Amino acid sequence: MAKLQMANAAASRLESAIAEVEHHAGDGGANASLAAAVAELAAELQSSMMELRSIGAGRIGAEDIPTASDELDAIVEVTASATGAILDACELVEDAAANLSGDALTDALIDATSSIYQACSFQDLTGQRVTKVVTTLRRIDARVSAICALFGLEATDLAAGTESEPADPNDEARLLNGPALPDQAMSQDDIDKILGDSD
Amino acid sequence: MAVKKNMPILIVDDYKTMLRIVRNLLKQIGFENVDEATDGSAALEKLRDKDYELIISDWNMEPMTGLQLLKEVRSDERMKATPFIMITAESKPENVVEAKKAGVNNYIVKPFNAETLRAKLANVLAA
Repeated sequence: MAKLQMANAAASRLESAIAEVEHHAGDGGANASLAAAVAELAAELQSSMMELRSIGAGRIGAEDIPTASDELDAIVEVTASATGAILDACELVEDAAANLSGDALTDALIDATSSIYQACSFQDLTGQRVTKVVTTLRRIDARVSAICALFGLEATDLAAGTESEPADPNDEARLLNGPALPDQAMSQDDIDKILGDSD
Repeated sequence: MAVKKNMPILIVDDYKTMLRIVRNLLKQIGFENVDEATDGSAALEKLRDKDYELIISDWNMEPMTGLQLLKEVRSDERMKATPFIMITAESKPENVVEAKKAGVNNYIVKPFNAETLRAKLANVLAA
């Protein structure tokens, strides 16, 4: 907030200086033109800072992008784990198939597990694509942070300045958050305690 | 758990794979009379046409969420006593509290396994 106030103060001093120049410019056309140009720049600077403040650019870099990339990392982790479970099950089926009598049935089961193994390669491709997106997000994050630093805007300054309506306690939207990140999710046991459930 | 094979059950989820998984798990347990809906409002239409003895629903669906469906069910004289299990990825304490306030009978967090579903079903149907 301090840096934003300093920037606003600087813009105000610039405007005062311009007014001073214009007052003493008389018929000096060059001075008047310079004053006009600088006045325009000062107005642009203030407008840009207000716009950055209103869109919450600092929050985008400090919260939204890191949250998005955490979610994508969680996707990769969960799909890898699920694929592992599928492959474990396939191996059990293969082992069981090996003990069956009847070549046709054994072959059919082995073929089926081969198809599953092939399909599971989706996880590797998905993981690579998601990693590419995460890399792109982190590059965007770095640029947003650089822009905020250029304007002397801190995440806390902008978060404090953004207009947000007070949360309506009756609004169900606050309850719709989707799956929690693995290290933040409640276990079924924790949920059962809240419910007072005893199985 | 005493299993009534033909007990009519309604499962509600906007994700078709999840409907398939829950249906298959119910079949493994012995329940075969299972209908599906892909969101709360579609479920409500089915509930108005048929008497179900159990509802298993996701939460985060559009246009009507599982919580809204639960509230509708609990405010309807004919359906209000129908056992309702929420199966959802929403796992914050305030979610569980809100669902409990709305009258949910049990709450299963995704991902879940067959044993958890079996245990919660037994708990709800024994009550």
